[in-house]
Amino acid sequence: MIMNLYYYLFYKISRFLNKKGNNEWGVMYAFSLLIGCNIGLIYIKVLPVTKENFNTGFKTILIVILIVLFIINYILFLHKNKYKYIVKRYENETLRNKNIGNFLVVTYVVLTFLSIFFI
Amino acid sequence: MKLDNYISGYAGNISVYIIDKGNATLYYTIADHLGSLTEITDQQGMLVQRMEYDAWGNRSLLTDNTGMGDYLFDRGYTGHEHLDAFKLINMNGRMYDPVVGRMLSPDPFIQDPSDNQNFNRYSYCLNNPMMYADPTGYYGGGSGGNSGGNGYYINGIPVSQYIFNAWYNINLLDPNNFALEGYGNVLSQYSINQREVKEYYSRYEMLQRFLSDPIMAQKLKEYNNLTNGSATLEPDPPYSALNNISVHPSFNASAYYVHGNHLPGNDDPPLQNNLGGNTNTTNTVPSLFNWTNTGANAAAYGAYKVGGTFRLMKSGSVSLGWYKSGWSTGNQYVKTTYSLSKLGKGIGYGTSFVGAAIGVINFELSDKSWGDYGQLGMSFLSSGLTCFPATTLVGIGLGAIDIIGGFNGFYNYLDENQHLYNNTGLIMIPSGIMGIPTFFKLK
Repeated sequence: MIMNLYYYLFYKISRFLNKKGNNEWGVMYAFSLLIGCNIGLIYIKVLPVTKENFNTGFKTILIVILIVLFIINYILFLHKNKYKYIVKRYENETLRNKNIGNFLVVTYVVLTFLSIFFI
Repeated sequence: MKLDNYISGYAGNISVYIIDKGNATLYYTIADHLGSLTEITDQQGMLVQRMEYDAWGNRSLLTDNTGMGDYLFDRGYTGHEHLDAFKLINMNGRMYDPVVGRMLSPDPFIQDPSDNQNFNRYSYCLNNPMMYADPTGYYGGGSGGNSGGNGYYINGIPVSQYIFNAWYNINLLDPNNFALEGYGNVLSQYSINQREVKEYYSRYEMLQRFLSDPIMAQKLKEYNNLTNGSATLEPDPPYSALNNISVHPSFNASAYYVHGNHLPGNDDPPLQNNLGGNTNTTNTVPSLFNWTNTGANAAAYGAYKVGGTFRLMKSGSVSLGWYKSGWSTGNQYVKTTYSLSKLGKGIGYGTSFVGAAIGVINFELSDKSWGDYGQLGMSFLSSGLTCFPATTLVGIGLGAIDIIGGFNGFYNYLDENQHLYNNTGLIMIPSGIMGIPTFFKLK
């Protein structure tokens, strides 16, 4: 279920950024950035990270987490062009599902964006 | 059986002693300053044949008193052996294609490292064939002087810009309905066009691009000694259409050539995988062609063209193992390069992504002063630009400048507290170094 949501989010961003089919890395980038922002926010809220101690090791750990995230995303989506199958899987969704999906994804993106300023 | 004995003196070839079916004939040869045989006389000094060459070695027969209408013997340009069936010249060490003025294989030696012309491994005689000759196929020699050459241009574009290395087919609308043999060789800028070559190997656009240039199309026709007909491209056949090809017996040892025999009906779906079934003599490759060679010209080209054949001229020694991973050693090389480029792209995008995400977290932890907003805005701007192919490089460039603190002055200008900005760190620098060049290649 969670993976399906993950794939679906990728598909939606792909629809937005990769209409010509030549920008899979751009999609990867934007998608990873969204997830990375979420992870980063959770990271600094859950752990006792402050402006002063961020550079004392917390930043390095976060960088490693982000790199791992990027590699996992690469394996999930770009390796052996798996993203094509993912896009194909969701391509034929019904109009109703499409509208709901669009609404949820846009909400998620906006919330992620707002969280940067207001959390 | 005909036996040609080339007799050489101090100045090169001076005579040819031909024994043909028991009849021995002696001819004398006259050469130009490069050693190209220009006149052939009999023992009485009477002119038998007169030949001329263009700058790059294409031979033509001016006078023919033998009545045979063909060259008396194979030697010609700079005293080397012409392989007329292939329109090539055997330079001993390597094969040379006078049509494009390039060797078919790279030069293993750099004769003079101080002359940058030497680093074009496919060029012939430093691109200066009027002055130099290449007796060994490896090292040029000549009358000295400035070796600067201007290269070989068609339509104002260096030939090397055209990707000759392909199989192209011209279906001529002449009475014989003769489908031409296509060939090409790897040209000088092959190394920087690897990906393009790779793409065009498998894509039909290369052929279209080739023929879309009227001068190139004309060149192709001239090369094939055709004056009639127009060049049209066959419909793109399925990639899976296979031909059975085999190494031509004459070149089995060095195996410079691979010939394909396309027999009627071979456009049917293949029975074999194109990458499998390799043996020493046969192999299969996808065909780009739909052969219609049924004319009398087929016979003129010998058995290797009958029935509509094609040849794959490759640089270097041919190992049929090539085809296990590509269509040529060149492709294998391309493949490797492609992987590296992908790695570079991954590093470029990956580090940019990490930088942008850390930029956001930096903002989260900051005092949210104007300077911090400025930095966040720059993060958004650079990451947003990175997402789109047309602006990727700009995005990465901005990110790279930000990483090394290039915008700190601007942030400080916005920030009355003169906050010291904590940029993402040196980890992002590889993004700029490794990512940017590969984007050029991979886009």
